[in-house]
Amino acid sequence: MMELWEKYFYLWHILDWKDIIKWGWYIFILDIPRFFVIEGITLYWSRSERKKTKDLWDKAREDLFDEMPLVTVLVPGHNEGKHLFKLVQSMNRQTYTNLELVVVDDGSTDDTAIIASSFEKSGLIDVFLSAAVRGGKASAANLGLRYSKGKYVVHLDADSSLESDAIEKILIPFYRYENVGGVGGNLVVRNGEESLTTMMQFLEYLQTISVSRIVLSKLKIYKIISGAFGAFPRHVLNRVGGWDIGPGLDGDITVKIRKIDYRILFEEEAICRTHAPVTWKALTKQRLRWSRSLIRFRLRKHNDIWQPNKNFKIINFLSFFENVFFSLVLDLLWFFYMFKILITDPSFMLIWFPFKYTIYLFMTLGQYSFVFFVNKDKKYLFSKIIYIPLYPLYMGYYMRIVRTISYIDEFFFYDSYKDVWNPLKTSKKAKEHGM
Amino acid sequence: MLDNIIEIHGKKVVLLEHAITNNLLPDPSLADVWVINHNDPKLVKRFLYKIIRSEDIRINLKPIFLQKELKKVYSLSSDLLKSLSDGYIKWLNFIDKIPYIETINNFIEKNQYKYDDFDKTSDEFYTFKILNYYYTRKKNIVPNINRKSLTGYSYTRIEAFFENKNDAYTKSRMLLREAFLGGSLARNYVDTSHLCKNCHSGFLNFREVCPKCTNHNLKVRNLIHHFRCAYVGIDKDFVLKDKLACPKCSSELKNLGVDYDKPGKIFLCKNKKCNHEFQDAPVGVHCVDCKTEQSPDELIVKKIYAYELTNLGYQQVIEQ
Repeated sequence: MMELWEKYFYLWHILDWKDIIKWGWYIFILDIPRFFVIEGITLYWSRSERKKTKDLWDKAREDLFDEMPLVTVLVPGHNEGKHLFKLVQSMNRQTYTNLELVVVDDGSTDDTAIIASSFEKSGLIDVFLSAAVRGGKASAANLGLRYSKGKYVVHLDADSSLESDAIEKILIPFYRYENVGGVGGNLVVRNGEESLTTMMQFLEYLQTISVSRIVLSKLKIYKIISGAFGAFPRHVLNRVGGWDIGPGLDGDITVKIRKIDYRILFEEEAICRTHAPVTWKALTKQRLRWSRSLIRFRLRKHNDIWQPNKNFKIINFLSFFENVFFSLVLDLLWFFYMFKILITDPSFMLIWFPFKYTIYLFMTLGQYSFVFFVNKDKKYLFSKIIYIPLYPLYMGYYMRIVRTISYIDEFFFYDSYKDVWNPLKTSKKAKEHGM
Repeated sequence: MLDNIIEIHGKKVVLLEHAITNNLLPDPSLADVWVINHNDPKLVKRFLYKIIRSEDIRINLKPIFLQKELKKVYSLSSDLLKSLSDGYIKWLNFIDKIPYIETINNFIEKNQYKYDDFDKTSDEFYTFKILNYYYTRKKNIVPNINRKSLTGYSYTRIEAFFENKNDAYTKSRMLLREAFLGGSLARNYVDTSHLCKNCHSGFLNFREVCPKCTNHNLKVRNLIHHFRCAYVGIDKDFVLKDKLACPKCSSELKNLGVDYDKPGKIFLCKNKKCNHEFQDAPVGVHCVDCKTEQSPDELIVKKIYAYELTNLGYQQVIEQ
């Protein structure tokens, strides 16, 4: 053990900074500035401004409760009957009470319809709609939208559970700012203790959602309101024609709203506890699906955002650019340098790997310290620091590899259109029309 | 004026006509067999009821036949009349019924005084009449499907004891049930029926109602799901002249199953104050007889049985 540490310290003495810069320049001029410096500064800026304008936030809350508009909670789902009782309970606990709970069953093959219609009869669900034939999540959401009445529509996954003030908090930004076309809620993994997989996701969500989305929202380039928990004004949803076919319909509708010049905001205090995949296999499947939408929607369907002569807006362009650059381009760059080192100077890996790991570990610790500004459960956060050493491996290797495979799949093979997540009949049409 | 008595196959037969017109029971001792010789089904029915309700064993057990030649005239009532009598005979030919007639008449002769001991309004007396009748006729008590009866099924000859429709229903069932519980009758399941919770009527109208205002003037519409853009709405949203065009993406819907499908229905309540739209329409039940509105689970569920005399029943008739 001591020997290992000695070797490790020796490594730092023999480092040739020229080599380091040659192989890892992007770490110092892209990763650290983007994920640590800019994020830290913007987070501080956002949080302190929020404190300074506390009276405006209080006023917005007052305005909301003075008006007390009807709010639709829209829950489309396929075979989600087992989660409905908890969902109903979490609705009943809400501090905002003028709610209309609309559950849409998308051709479920289990007892969902029986459970939901009995809840509707007893008044626990306000509207239950059922499509006898499965049509995909977008069609279920659109059906719910067609038959709901609320001024605002909160889209929710059946298996997420809301903090009791979550609906109130997600509505306040509509009264705090003008021209808001959607507000994304903050997602926290609720089953972090279930397995190592879920614990890593717990840490990931803290960084990539709780912190990162505050930053993106402040910089006005926030571009995905998660389907798990987001709120929209009805008239905006109607203008964009509701949801289009997924997978990735949540990111897609956010872009559609951005395109018609509405602001998209993130609300860190509106907390939704979501259920994360428990096994690596399930997680991999989920991420393969999620990542494909970068190619399908950002590069293909919404390609007009990139074209100066079309529907071009600099802020939407930057939002896409940030997303594509830091996910796709940097991934490819990472693989390029990885292979280059392996081919030209394999022994350098013995220095390179420990070095890079050390850098990213410190950056992760730095990022984790940001989380303490946002998440209130500090004691729990402290107890999870022991998992931080795994995080650079999880994000840097596992996630990167899964993501890149997914990009390649979608780019060359259009795999998202083969995904059984959607019925084939709709995927076929979506592909035909480039949706 | 008395009706003619003639002799056929050595039996005295009275052809009842004036008796029916005047609704007067003839002297039972004058003839062995009574034959209905009247063509008005209403009057015949009134007369048969009078016979069945009679407290004289010689009258209410008397073999009484209808004539097949008049069956057409009775038209819709022909089956009812049959169930109140011993059936139809053709050309006054009842030679094959002679043993049947003799058994009945012997029974009447043997038992004609036994009625005297009964309180004529008691349930026992009714039960006694039922057991005697079905014993002499060697028939089972079978319910008839009957549109005119309160519940759709009737024990016609037993219900005929009672003038009031509701009494006829409740008392006949009560008598049969008591006789079954007492062991005189055995029963076999025939059917299950649903009856109005208020008046026991089986003439019910079932229709979907609005869960909010219980109005039953509803319009049902198909949902259409346009695959290409995931829009879902009712047929009306899509209609453009004689084509289907999507209100979201403006493209035309051509082929069912390829461009779109119909994943369900939506009801619209046509009550202008309500206009509620919903998928799960509860069924409301309206009683045609007493106008009571009720839900299907409030209906009375009754089982319909056919009955037959048990050995104990036979014994009771013989030893009465």
